[in-house]
Amino acid sequence: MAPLFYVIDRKKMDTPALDLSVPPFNLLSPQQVQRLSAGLHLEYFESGQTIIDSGQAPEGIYVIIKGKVEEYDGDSVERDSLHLVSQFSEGDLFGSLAVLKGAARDAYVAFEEVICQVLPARLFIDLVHENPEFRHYFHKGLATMSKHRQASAEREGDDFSLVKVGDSVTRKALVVSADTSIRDCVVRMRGAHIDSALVDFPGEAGSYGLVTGTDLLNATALDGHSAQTPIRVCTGRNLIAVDAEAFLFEALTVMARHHIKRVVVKRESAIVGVAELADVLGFLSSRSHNIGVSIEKAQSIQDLQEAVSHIPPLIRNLVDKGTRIRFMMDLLAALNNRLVAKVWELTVSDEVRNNTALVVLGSEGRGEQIVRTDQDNALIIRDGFDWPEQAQDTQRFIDRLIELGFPPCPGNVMISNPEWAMSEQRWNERLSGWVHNLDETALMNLAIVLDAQRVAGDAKLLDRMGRTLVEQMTASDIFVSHFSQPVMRFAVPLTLFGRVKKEQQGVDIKKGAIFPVVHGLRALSLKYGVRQSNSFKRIQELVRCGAIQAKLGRNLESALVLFSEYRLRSHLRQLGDNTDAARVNNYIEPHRLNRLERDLLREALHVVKEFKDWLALELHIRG
Amino acid sequence: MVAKTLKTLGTRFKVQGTPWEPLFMPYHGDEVVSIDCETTGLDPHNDDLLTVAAVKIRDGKIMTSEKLDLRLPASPKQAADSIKIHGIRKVDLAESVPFSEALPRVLDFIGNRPLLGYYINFDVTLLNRYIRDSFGFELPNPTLELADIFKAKTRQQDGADLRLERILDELNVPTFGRHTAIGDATMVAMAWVKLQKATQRL
Repeated sequence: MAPLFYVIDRKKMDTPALDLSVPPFNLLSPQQVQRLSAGLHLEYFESGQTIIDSGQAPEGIYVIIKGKVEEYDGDSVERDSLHLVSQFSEGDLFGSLAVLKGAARDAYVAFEEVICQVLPARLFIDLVHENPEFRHYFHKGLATMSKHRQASAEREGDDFSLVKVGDSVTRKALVVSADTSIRDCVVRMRGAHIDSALVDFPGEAGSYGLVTGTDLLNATALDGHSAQTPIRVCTGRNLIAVDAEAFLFEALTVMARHHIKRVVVKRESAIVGVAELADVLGFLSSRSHNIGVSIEKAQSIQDLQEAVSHIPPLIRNLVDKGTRIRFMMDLLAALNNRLVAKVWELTVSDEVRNNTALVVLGSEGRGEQIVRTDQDNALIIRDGFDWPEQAQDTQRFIDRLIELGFPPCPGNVMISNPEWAMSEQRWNERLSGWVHNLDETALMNLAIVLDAQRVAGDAKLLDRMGRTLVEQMTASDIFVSHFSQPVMRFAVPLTLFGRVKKEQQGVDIKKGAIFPVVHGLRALSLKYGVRQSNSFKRIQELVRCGAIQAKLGRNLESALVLFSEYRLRSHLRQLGDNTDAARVNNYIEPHRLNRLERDLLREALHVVKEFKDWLALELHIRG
Repeated sequence: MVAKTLKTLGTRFKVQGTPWEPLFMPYHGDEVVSIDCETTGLDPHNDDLLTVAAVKIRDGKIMTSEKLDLRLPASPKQAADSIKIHGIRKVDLAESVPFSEALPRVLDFIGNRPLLGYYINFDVTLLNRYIRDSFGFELPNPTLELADIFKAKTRQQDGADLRLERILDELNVPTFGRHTAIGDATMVAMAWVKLQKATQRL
């Protein structure tokens, strides 16, 4: 098999060289590179000149040496910003699809004087036929491009986020019968050097429990059981498991979320062993769990402050290690939710907690916030619960969150606002009011409530409210299509470099890219009864129930991961410049991206555009 | 002008029946050849040719895919200065093409197309010296001088700075491979194409 990447000495070239070190050109063999170089010619276009007209078979594929080129929608003769599909600049490649299809869909026009390298169609097609890697690059979508990017990013070795539970920390479980005495169980656990045992209940095939050293200690020391008592009295039956294929990270997240020190490891629903926290920590150099533990142990806001101060370095560390963004999201969501719950615990009495449900909304609810840029929360209060100190308590809670670095919500979606801390009954009235009101604020409020996730208190309160809400919102198809309308509000910022004016600002990745996808998925989930709040899980469920095609699902997932990554990088850079967290913006500056990253971004934005077009038909959204 | 025409007619008579006869036919196409030579010095009557490079311009496109880039055998005159400018050392000339092969290839490549260059007279004078020795005639091709065209089209004052660097810079032509014959020929071609387009627009 030929090597995947070839090293080419670019200094030897006397004509303006293509960047042969990035895909697709690094996929060619030296002999193919030679033919490529020999076959190129140069072309100059004046500003405003059409390079490829829509419907035309292009002469070849173009790589820009100098200048900017704009792509205009071929369905229209208009050449204005509304019909601008994409923009290309130095180092960008365009026209490949048009060559492969034999005709260009869109028109490509020189925005300013342009000098291009032209790879003639004939030669390009030959190379595409000869070289499968090269071909895949042009044929496949975003998913493949990401793969190439990962390959070229050369991340290796100690990337712990790629270590799987099943391959690293899983220990063979000690299995004991439920009828074993506490004493015998301790002996066997010592013998196996393990602090837990799977408990087999005779007569209940396949049903297991878990008993730990602490359980046994408590049973004898606190609950007065004798050493001869069968262990079934102190065995937990509620097993929390992770898949053997899960990454270490996920095991950690699960442990942090459930405050447990071990999880059962399953492979295709069969138990294969146990993963102990101590082993996982031994494997990781990261502080993520320590932070979780110190949040858990915190007795005061000062303690929490200390724990929180370790979060930003943790994020940077994870980013530097190339950790997958989805696991970062999961981990940070778990940590932040625990943090919010702990603050709540430190602020109000048990009675208040038992009679309310504290929920986080919007991106926090979806578990998609990594850098805390905002807080959205709400409180559902049991009907009839008397709580005279509500105003003081909720205000103190919010003040403490702000103190801990959660910037206040500019829209005042916080429980200190009585509009967002109401009894069940009033919530239902309010929600039904929003559903019937249909103005913009009402729609956006409904949207963030749909993403609600409970962090503390009575889960049933949120469950009930969620069910009522979905019932009301799905009562008519017209409502769903109305609800999804904001998806169309902002144009996809496919003009990657904007008009010259906008250049300092860059692309608003949240407005133009993340929002339409997140909101579209939300609306579809509503329509198809998908009860998930995380966008990735929504995609999974929507694919499973056939609402969206698997390919679209994959593309949306890749696109969302990409946007989140670019945004995270931008956020970290802004925070590095000591920007106040509340003032961090969502602009991506294309000039900070290399060509491949720009290609990926452009491709991902195309996915958004396709999704929007499809959604408009699917949900009958008026454009 | 008249003298040159007479001379060309005379030569045409002389080359009748040889492979070089088409060179003397009037050119009716729209292609131009951008040509550049690197030499051991600045005297076209005495200095030696080191490399010759040419690229065709067709329909406003610079056909780098159809280029000529030849290295000639080492010259004893090759001075240290010239090595500094062009970065061509004797060892680089190892993969050279003998004159007996190079000259026909040059003639074949340029045909009867107009020749474009920066101080094109220098290159033509130098090439003529070799061609005359081998074939007994001189290049009859019309020539296009980039410096003149630039001066006229951009309405430069007399005595304006007409160095190639400046022309390329004014015209916003990206520079690369400067001081190699093929690099210069390509950049000169690009500058000329831009000037041509600018004229069409006016």
